Amino acid sequence: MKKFLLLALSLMLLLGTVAGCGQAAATPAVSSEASVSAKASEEATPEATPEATPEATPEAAPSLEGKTISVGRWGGNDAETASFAKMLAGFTAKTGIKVEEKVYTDYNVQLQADMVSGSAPDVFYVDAYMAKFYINQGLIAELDPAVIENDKFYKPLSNAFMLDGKVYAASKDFSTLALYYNRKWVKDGEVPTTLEDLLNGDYLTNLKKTLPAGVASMTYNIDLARNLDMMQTGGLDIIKDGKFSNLSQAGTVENLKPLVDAALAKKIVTPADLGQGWNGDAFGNEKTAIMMEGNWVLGHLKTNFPNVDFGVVEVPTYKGQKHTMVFTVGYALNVKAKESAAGVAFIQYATGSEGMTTWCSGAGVLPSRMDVAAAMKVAEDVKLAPHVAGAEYATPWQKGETLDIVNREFGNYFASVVKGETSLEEGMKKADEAANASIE
Amino acid sequence: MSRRVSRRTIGDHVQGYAFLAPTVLVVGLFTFAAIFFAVFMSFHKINLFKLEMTFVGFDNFTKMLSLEKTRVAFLNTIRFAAVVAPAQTALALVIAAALNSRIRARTAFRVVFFLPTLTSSAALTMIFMFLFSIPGPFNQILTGLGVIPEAVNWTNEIRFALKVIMAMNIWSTAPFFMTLYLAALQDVPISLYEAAAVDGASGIKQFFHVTVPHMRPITAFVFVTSIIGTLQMFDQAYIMSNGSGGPSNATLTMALLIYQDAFGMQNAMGRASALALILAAVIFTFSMLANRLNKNEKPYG
Repeated sequence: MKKFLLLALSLMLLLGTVAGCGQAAATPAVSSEASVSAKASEEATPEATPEATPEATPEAAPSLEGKTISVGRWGGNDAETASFAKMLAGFTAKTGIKVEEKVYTDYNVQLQADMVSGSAPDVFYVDAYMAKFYINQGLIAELDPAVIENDKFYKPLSNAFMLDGKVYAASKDFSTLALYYNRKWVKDGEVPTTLEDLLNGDYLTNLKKTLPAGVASMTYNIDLARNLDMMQTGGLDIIKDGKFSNLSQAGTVENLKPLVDAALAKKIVTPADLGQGWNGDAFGNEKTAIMMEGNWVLGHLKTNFPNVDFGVVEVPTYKGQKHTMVFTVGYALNVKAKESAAGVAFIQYATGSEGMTTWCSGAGVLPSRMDVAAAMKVAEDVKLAPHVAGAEYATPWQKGETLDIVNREFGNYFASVVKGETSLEEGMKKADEAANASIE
Repeated sequence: MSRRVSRRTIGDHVQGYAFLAPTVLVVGLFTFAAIFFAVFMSFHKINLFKLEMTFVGFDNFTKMLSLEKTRVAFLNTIRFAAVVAPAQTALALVIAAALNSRIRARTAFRVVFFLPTLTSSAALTMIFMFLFSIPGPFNQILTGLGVIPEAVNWTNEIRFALKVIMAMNIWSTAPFFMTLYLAALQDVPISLYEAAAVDGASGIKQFFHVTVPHMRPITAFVFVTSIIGTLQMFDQAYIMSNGSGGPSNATLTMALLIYQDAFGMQNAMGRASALALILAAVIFTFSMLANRLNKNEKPYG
């Protein structure tokens, strides 16, 4: 009898495990529409598909109360964490929907792993530069433009999350680059207004003579994300045929020359050259007089380096044109979300005027909605104004589905170009070859 | 009678398998199933998000083997293992022999030497990045002594990036092997050293003619383990280059290349699996070679 029990037990164990595996493997295979509609029918209002009902506002749908959704994001600084928590509290108070945060460290890798295993959060951050990839892989659900009030957003920001006229995410905020100078060493209005004068004139060399030893005139970044606008000046595109890297085309190489020349002449250095982690630290520690940085640095300077007196102006023009980069992140709904309706309610709140105001005023980022920007009077803030102005002419950090690969290879080879180990032409050619071999 | 025996035997079998079951399941699922799935994926073009797959035969293998990047990664990995594995083994043996002699505060030294092995490699990488940074201590000492005219950005120079990782890996893993040697050294009869001393052998001669030959079986194990570990090097290169394998592919290892193919926008799980199998074959070959080399020489001289 004992032995029979033992046999039965081990059989059960075996069967249980096998069944468990089978189930886990089967779940992701369920087609997205099927799972969304299955979820929708569980709601108290089965006749209303969650996305398509404008009345599905939190107040009008009491059925959502008590539901719990998960929201995936990456960690930020203290100010961001605090304002995110504040926004969540506001959302829960208003709708009765609880939110579980899922904070990722290596965002795109961990999120992708979760998506494959079917355990990804209901709602998650999507960086504009990854958006087209996720959309084309069928991982994020379409949103009703009316529900998220898509037309209230700045056009470049809503476009970043649209494909073939359909909306897939709502931009939560945006940042642009601007030029920061330390007032201790640089007078207002003194910085040249063209990149040609700034990088290739005598300004930085002369400034260097007035600075204490160990302080650089200006720091720069070698990332493609910081230089794409300059590289594409004159209507160029670093991507050809929709996916292939075209960094080595004559125009792009020529556009980068002023930057490379200044770097080789040591007029500009990277934060790493100064032993600093990033521009924000180099500037805050007064190791550099000038930097080009996004508005996310404002909170960092205010909190950690309150005594640094600085001014902010728009990025100097290049070849007579105003230019900067714009970065945006949106909230997207998982196609396999367990709580689609509640997830949409969250996106609606977080990117609505109330949630966005809470988030942006606390985190020091710029609101993606024009109505919120007007209400928050961001353009009247002298330090934010140059960033807001940039939104109109900025190049979005986004480009098809292969930008990640091109970006990686650019960074890989541009590092040796600015050190003088490889010529610019050679470096970009190698980056193209490496990237295109991966893209195939 | 015979019936009872056979029933009992069956019962024993069942009991035995029941006890084995948990391990068999765990290892089967997370090791063997994973390996078989990797083999399966390596012959397919696979999209895990859409769960689409098409059989492509050996395309993934030929594609990966034809890429310039694979060649660079392969050479980097081999170079890394060729320097680190022998250096680690030799260093571990020397430290162990030194600690085995009757010096003062042996225990304290053992603890201090063993500490790097207990620290996570991610934390160690951050510390090394600081040590070798422009204003870091390494540059300050070298410029202070006048060895180099101005500070060098060690972790960002093509010539030095991989060497910094080599130094770190040798320093952090050698102590683990040292403990293996320390344990084995307890088994070497003191009479041998005494006899050698009577014959007039100096300390260094005793090390080479008594300690080293006696340690041969341990050396074989340490060397193979070290080769396997170094050929799989990933974390230090990933952290130091931020995942890019830069500057200019100087820190691109096979494992890092596998990672790059599997994640990000590449979404080439099939190719990553193919490369992982190639890497496994490389590791297998080198381990067998190392083992063969050791077997040809008879242990204990």
